[in-house]
Amino acid sequence: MGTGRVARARSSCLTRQTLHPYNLTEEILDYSSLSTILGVMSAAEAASALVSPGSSCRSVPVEHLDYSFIQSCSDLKHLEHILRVLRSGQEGFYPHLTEFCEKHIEKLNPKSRVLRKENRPATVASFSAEEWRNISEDLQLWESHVRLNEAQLKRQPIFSDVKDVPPVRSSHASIQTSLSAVEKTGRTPCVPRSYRDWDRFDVETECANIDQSDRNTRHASVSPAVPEITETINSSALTAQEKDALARREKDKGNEAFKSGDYEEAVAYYSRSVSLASSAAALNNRAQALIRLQRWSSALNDCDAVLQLEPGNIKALLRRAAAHKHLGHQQESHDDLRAVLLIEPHNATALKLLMDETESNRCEETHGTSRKILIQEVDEEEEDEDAQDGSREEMRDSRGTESGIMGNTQKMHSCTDIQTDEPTNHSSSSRGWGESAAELTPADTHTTAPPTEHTHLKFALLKDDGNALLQPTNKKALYRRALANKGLKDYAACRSDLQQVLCLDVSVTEAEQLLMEVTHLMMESRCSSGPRRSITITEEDDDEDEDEGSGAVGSQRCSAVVSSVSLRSSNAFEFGQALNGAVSCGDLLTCAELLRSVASERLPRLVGTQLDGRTLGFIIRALNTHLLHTHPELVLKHLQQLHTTHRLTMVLMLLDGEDRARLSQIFQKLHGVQTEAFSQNDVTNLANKYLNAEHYLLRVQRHSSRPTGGATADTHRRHSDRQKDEQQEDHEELEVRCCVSFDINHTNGHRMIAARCFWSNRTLLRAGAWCFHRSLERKITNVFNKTTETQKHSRRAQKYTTTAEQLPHITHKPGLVDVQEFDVSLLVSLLKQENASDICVIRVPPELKYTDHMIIVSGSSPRHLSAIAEFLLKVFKFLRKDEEPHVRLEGRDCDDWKCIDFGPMVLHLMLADSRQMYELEKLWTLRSYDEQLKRIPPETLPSDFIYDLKHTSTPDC
Amino acid sequence: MSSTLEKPQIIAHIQKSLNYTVFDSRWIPCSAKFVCMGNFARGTGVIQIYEIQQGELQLVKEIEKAKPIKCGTFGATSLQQRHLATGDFDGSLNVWNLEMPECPVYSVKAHKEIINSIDGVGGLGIGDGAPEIVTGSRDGTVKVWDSRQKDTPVVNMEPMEGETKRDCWTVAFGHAFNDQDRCVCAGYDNGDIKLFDLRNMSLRWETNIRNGVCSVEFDRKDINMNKLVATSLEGKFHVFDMRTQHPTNGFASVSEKAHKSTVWQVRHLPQNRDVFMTAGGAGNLHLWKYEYPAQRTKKDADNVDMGVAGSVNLLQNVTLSTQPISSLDWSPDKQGLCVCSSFDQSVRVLIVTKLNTV
Repeated sequence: MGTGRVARARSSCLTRQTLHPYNLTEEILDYSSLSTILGVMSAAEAASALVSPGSSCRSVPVEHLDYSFIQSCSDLKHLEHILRVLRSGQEGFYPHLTEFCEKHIEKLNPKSRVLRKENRPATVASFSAEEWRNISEDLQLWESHVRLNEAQLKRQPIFSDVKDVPPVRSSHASIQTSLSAVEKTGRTPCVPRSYRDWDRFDVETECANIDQSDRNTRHASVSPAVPEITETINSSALTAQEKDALARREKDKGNEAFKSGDYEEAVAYYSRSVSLASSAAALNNRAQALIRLQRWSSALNDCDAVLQLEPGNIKALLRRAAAHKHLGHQQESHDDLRAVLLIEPHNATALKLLMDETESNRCEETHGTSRKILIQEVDEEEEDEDAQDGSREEMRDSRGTESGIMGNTQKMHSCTDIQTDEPTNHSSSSRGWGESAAELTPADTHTTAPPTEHTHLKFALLKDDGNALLQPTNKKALYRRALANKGLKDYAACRSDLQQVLCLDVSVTEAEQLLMEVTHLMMESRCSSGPRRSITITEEDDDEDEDEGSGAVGSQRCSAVVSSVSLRSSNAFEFGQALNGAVSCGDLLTCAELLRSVASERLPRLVGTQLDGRTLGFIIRALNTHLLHTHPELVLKHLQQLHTTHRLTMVLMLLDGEDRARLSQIFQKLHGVQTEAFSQNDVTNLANKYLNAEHYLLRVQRHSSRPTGGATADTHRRHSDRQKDEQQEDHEELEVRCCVSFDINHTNGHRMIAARCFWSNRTLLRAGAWCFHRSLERKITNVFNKTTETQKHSRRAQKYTTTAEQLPHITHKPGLVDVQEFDVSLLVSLLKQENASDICVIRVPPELKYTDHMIIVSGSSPRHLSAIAEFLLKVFKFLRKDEEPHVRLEGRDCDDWKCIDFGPMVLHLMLADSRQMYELEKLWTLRSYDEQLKRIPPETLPSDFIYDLKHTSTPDC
Repeated sequence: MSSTLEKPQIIAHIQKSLNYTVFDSRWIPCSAKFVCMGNFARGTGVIQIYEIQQGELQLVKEIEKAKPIKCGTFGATSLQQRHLATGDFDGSLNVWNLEMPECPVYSVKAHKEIINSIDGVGGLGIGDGAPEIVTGSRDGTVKVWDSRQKDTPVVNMEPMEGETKRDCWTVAFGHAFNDQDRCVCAGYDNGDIKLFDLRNMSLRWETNIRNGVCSVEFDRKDINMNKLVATSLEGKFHVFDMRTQHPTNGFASVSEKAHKSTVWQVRHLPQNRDVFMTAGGAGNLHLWKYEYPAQRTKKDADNVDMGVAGSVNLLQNVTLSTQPISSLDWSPDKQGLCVCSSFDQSVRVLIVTKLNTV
């Protein structure tokens, strides 16, 4: 039955083959049967070649070797079976179906055994240069280190007798190796002891032994429930190295026990490690294990010990905080957490713990609100007035804790006084974020007057008085409210506050940074709300710290920040940060302010490193919407200066249509402006520079609607005669532009390939491959053909096109997105593409361990042959994986016969005459239809002659 | 390529062809040297010491002995002495001082036939109690030796008279976490695994895995026994959870078919007991990780504790050679460094990367 089915399937294969002898787009195509010979043989011969081999794949119907079936099948066992059949090649050679099946299985069960493949050991090539350097350096270091250690070890005298080694096992017992025997005899036979043995007789152990063996006989040998591990090791006789090694090993054992959940055991091993050498790591780990066992006080001791050894150990601090918390020492816990945050401001664990605490505090707060406010006032005071009180540190940390209230009553009194004086102060405090986003009264914010020295002085003066009366120019208040809003996760409000701050004074970099953060958070919080929480707090706390830091510096800094416009923006990095921030949140206003505050002359330098299409577009937008109507002369100046940026011409072509429209709009408007600052001519010149330059540049539109990789750069070029001369000088630059045009939304890798392709002739092929992947080849050729007039470039372009065009046919196959492997199907399609005639693919049976496929093709001339061969070598080289060997072309000097051994495939390229003469096909497809062979009686053939491998019968179709 | 960056990778760092059949290879503790033991074609035994120097193997010393050497261990020597204990084809147990290898420090005719396997405990700071060596031989006996006692073993584990003597292929020490407790596990050619308790001088447990046991090893010798891996002739290996012994069912185990051929060796990473490497008859190495179950014990119907086996995860596999890999040893000092010898008469130094992140 099974055979019949297979035979039917084969005949269906056959008809397809005869209909489309070369149709490789059909996955069904079968190279597999013992010898599938195309081209040379007639269809009838091919049919006779198609003999069904013994079918061991009986349980898998042929219909199941199908994409749709595999896709829908969820029976893992069956799929694995299918995969085995596919891999065996008995039903045919379907590389993509096999791959598909593998992927499907992997989806169902990533750990399936059929997916395990034999790997070769990794080599240097499997690692990046840096990784390999790390590995080898690590090894070298260890080598030298261990050599040193060994030398030290050898220098030490040998105290083999000093060691306290347990005595030799006293009983020369023998154990029967079968359990039944033990049960029969009951216990080990009593051996008469010699006098010497009696000297060593230890009553305790002997008794223990007897007890043990008694117990043993009673319950058929079950291990004692609790293992007794001694917690210390006698290290008196050990050398330092031995101690170190031993301590390390005990710690490892502890770690392992910890990992498997045996905390008691872990503690025991850590203790042993500590008894040898008290290392911070072991102590620290013991603390963790003790915490798991909820032995808080011991954990506390360990943490203390660690912190004595390493004062800044974050883990120890965190653990101590946890221990303190569980022991009810809120204050100390808090201290530790603050300490952690001082060292590592973004420590998520600390922040979480702190947040928990704050949460609980907030609960408390609902009970006694008035008291709470007082304490917050204290904090606010600390920051705003430059207090010299010694107890300040304590004070801040004690915020929100009971003991804090107790210990600082005196301070609180003074604060209450201030509070009664200035009730408004409280409402604007960022410290009030716990209650609400304290609303600023309109009076607080109404003034948008630019900061003056005078108000600053006043501000500082008032501060010195210790009276934090709010000033009209209340950037700080706004900034704080933003912080508060942020704490309350009201990002929109926070953003608007920050923007207001920036309106007042663009140079407040804190605000800019915060704005960026907030925008980022806003986007994130839109995506998900759950895990964001801790991050939110991160930022909040960080800012708090920063804020407190600035509080310590006092009011001088506050005024310094405001007055130092020029100082701040002199730094290209700062400027870039700010600009990027604005671009990323799409904040035109900020950008405009930024541009306004910058002197035009310095703009190229500041912007130089940042300028890309997006930024430029943004700048243009900002200029157009915000600055053009108020400061036209500034806009012109900026544009003039921007044009001197050396990358500008390149960047200009990256502008999209809208931005370009805006640019021309700007120039139109500038034309309309009547001032003394600039003349109409200036504008026209500049407009020519900007807009005409763009004419000969490539215009690139991004189709963002395409999926990834569909980054089609629709490049078409408008030629401008005027610019022709200039253009010819600029070939090199044009190339770069091309690269840049691909840059737009490609990943680094592609960018690199693209760049490489333009700079090096050798790698043109790579570019070709890249091109056809991205279906860009046509466009690139356009670019080259039209833009490059010189011969050199046109040649280059031509070469490029040919390679690029040679490959795409392969990609028309369904399901084949990336050509990754140089396999038979690829080889055949390449051959077809190269106009090789009479392609014959012979599947060599696995019994002959020579190769998998023998491919024989004819070419029209010696030149044709070598062209095909060279091309195939090139493609192979390109697709070659690291572990694959290099291949060589055999018969370079031979005109009529060339051969390439690809490993699993051997390709013979021959002229038709030689092919007829040598009849290689027959050599590899010995079958009953070979007349010559038929005539030879089988017994006269050599004994190891493989004659018609499995089937001597002729097929029935 | 991207997947290679996440998993541990096995790098064939150095390969060296030898002119003899190498049976065993061992790192010398606290050094960048290892010893290879085997036999020359002329029928004599050989011990070679190699040292890694800048990515090359330098032959430090070659010692020729009368009888082919099957196995060796440093397990029962102190870190200062670093004496090598070997078992040879003749059944002799010798302890060599590699600095002065002319005559053995300790020598005993331990068995009537070839010593297949040797293991040591109590030295190098691994395992509490007296340093002892255990040998398993074709004559069916397993003997424990103390180098301070001449001529006679301290414990002898042999089949009862009249019972058929099975070839003992492998022995391993374990459970040596205090001065009294110690266990020896032995694997036999008929698939028997026997666990001898040296404290109680009794056979604690036995089982049969239906195929010859090629290699057994405890995950660590010097802890309350935790896991035991036993590899077998037909390509399977078994991992026993040795923490909970059920009176009737014994220890829980998980088995995994890893290789298509005999699993010759299993070695646990000294720095992480849950990672181990198996070496196969087709020249391949598999790196595994044992994952503990959520609960390591459960109650059976009679409310008696029984163990629960976890699972094993394949981390990496490579094919190094076409011949069986006869021995494998992790460096005790450098995590991820290991040496393996195979029957294609070569020894290889391997580096396994990213073991600290598995």
